[in-house]
Amino acid sequence: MNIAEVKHQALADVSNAANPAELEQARVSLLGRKGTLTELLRSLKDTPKEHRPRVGREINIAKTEIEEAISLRREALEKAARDAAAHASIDVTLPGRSRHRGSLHPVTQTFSTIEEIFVRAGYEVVYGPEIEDDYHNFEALNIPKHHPARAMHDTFYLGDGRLLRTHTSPVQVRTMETQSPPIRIICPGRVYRRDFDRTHTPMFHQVEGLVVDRGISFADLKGTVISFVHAFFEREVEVRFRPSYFPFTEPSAEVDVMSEQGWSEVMGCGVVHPKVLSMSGIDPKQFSGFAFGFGVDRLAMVKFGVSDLRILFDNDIRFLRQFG
Amino acid sequence: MRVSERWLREWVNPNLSLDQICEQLTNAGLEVDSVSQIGPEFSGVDVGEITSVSKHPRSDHLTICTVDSGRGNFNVVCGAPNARRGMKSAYARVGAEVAGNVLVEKASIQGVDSEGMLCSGKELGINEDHSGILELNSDAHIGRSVADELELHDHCIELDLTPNRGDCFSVCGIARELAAINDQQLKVPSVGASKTTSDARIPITLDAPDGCPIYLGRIIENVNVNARVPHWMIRKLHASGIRPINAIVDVLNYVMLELGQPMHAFDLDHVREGIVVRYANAGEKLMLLDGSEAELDSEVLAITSGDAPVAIAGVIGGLNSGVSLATQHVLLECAFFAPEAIFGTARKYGLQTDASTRYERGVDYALQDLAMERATVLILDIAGGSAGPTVNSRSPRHLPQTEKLSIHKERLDQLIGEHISDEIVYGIFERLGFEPEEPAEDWTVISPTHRFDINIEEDLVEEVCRIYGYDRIGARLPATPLNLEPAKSALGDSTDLRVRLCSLGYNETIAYSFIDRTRYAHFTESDESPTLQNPMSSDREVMRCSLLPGLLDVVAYNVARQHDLVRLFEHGQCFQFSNGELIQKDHLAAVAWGMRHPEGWANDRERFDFFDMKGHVEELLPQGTIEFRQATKSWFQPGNAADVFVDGIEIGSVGQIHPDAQSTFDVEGPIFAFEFVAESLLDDNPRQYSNISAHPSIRRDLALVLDESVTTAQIRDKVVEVLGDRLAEFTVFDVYRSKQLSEGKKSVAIGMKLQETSRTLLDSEATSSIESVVAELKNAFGAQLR
Repeated sequence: MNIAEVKHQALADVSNAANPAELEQARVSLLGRKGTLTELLRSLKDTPKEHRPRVGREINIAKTEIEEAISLRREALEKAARDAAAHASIDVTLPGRSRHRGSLHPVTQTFSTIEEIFVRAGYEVVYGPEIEDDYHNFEALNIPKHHPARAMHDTFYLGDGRLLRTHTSPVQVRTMETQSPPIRIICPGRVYRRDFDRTHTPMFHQVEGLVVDRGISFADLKGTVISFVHAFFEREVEVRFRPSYFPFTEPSAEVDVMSEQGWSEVMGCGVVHPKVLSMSGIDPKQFSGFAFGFGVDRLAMVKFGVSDLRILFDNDIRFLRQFG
Repeated sequence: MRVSERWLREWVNPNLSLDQICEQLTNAGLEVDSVSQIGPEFSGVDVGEITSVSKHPRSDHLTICTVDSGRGNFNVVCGAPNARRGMKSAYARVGAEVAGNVLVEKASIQGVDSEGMLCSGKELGINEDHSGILELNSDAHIGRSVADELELHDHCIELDLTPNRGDCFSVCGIARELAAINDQQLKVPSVGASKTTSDARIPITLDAPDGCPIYLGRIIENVNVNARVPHWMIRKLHASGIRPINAIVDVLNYVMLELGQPMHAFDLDHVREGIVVRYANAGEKLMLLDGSEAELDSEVLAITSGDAPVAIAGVIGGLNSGVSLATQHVLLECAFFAPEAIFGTARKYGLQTDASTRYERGVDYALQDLAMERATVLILDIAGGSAGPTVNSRSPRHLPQTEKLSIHKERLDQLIGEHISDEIVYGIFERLGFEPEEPAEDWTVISPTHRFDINIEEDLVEEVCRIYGYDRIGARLPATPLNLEPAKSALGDSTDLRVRLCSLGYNETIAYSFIDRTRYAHFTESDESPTLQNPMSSDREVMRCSLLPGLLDVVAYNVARQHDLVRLFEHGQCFQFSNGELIQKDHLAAVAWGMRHPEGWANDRERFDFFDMKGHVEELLPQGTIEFRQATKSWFQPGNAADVFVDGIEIGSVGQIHPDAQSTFDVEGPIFAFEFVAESLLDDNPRQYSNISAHPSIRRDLALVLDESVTTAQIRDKVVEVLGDRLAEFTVFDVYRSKQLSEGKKSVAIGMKLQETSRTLLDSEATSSIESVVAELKNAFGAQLR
């Protein structure tokens, strides 16, 4: 075969190589130790001396051309392979190998939000026992025996003078008994009243707050409550204060916020009654304070769009998983 | 408390809409709960005058009346005996609708056409009278709607009063507030003086003047209990939610609604021996007006006559001594009972009456004379009779004292948080009837006799604030120093534990803290349980000692809803007696039932087992020396559960729930659980760095054949003991049992990473270390190399 024929055949072989393996095979059969082109170079010694430089040059040119063709072909095949790989991919829509995921109860999430808001403002979070004595739940809060206000709390009794706390206010009393002002606390927890319907369960959750210091006023209470409501709902909802009555605060107020259904009651609050301060060992002439308390379940319902309170405690996992 | 809008406006009528009035009341602390419309039960009924009456040609008891209705004259066939010429009555025209949705049609009655109908009170639904047609006043406007003529369009305002505002349980009380808010005068209706026309009287003795410092009694003889009560009174009673009963009771209810003074009427024949007000003797019995029998005790203030109780003071009267339709003579009672004497009595007998509601909260102790006059005048007017003199027994020194209160002006400003001008404050006190004085730097006021809730200076702050308007007072935040306190450890609180459980696939639950006694019994070793005296139901009677019963209940609830994997946890207080002392601690517990993984292409379909749960527990445990020992709690399955110790102290258990304990819950298949005292999981010890070796380590593995009874912990402890600091890591990478191993044996493959901290460990050293391990394990446990 002459050089031109060899080159022609070689270029055809290279371009016909369908994959890297065939290309490598073609390369070996052309440029390998026993390859056609190598043979051709080797046969140069049989060429008449005067033709050798010319023939040698022609062979080298052909070799270079073939090598370039191989290189180009290799790149083309590699690119094709990459493209193919990119197309023939896994099914990325198949679910991943993840662990089963749980959820925090919406009431817990609401507690966390509330605690976060107050802790940032320097409040301490305090807890207390759920089985309380009459003194801390009622007497120390200026609710003597037979007081009509006791009718507002349908209380569970244990029969030994103890009861299930009807609010978390006893925690405030216990704090005042052991700490001196300034006091800035919130008391989250479970509370109990004998009641069951769409909007009442015999167990529910409260957060109560207490601030005692020199010169604390009704205006401080208003500012704190409004500021909390705005922080909790993350917008400047309209807030209304109207006079109410609690034996442990004077003046007392109910707080309503404007919702799509009109005013809805969210908390009770007031300036701490001087008797409550003095019974717990704080001098009402020197110090004053404010207290507020609200139902967490109700806020959780508003926040998460739940309409029936009771579903919070059914613990249906189809419900619970929605909050994961 | 329900009040009629019309009635209220008779007392004070500010130029405001009903909505505005309600808003004012709410903003003053008298919360308006709802407003409902009150209207007539008829339409198309007008005032008509009977211009002629003639006999019906075919009937003896029917007449033909010609009625001038203002739209013409109509002939109406009428059977009423009281129809007469010149009378004004209610004419229902053809097409009208009367009570009970009855349509009035043109009819022919015994051959005579009747164009409409003359109506009785009953037919209009405004009273029970069906003895004749309704007689309207002679000055009624012909052609005017009867509903307008009788003022039947009204609104009932329902107020949710707080316990301190007993003074607002009357039209007068609410009007007094509204007048104060709007700076208007009250239009008090004139009562007039009652005529005393007899000498009839009985003695009244106050044997318990602390509980009853005022008792007025007055006899009215020859009353007509069946007398017809005027429309206006019936209407007002209706609008206030009170059912008419008879002339005497209606009047007394009317006076109570109007003035706030509860009154009672006895049938005189049952109290002729006079009235003694005293505390009851234990064991005395009284048949009450509602038909039940009450056994009295020495805390109950009783009205007695002839040494037998005839009423529970301020709460309810006795059945026998009450006014009946046969009553001829009555004794009216108008008293002041001290709130302290009435507290609790109504609750004790489950009788929340209109009277007790008012007395408990405090009735104006200056009101009795007026109320007695008002009631007497009305009774004489409506039911006739002749009134004797009022026997007025009182013990002034037992009356509440009118208190002079003062508050420093600066103190007022300080508690409110801003200054309200003296002029405004003065006006508020004056309008509320506090008779303010203004000496120098103080306010001095007298609390009115109807206000039982004004005792301390803070009460005055509230009065000023609520009439001034809570919303007008500025809002500010308390000025407090910014203290910096140590941060809680990032690993140290229960929120973090909860989040970790979430990422392990548990849903947080909140269950009731009270549980069923039988279930409780399976989860405690104590005999004594904190038990509710008044539970919601018998299966919610005991305060939980463990979170597990509640969680298992939730497992059952969800398993019944076709889930194949249920994993739950709860964090909450548990209650238990320990040596007679009540222990209340937060627990953290979790349960898992069903599959290890949710169904999925990449997931195995194995059931969740002990080691799944143990793995989860290990993610929660604090620093320290951890030990898992065979469980000792009866509610865990022996051999498939462990008690967990940290530094030698037991903090809880993990494992399979014992089938006996599980049997009260409707769940098939094993349930795994753990429960810990939450605080023992809190780990706020700071971490301490220990050096990381820069030198290479050597790994050596051993496959050991051991008796089943040898635990992995024993092997690990021995290896640790032999290798000391040279042991950098210890793993168990395989455990298997097979026929090749003899019965009661298992193969445990362990891996050890050996390392020195300050130099490179030589291969020969590692080999000799491992040889010692092999020798010691053989020596201690008979371990063979496989």
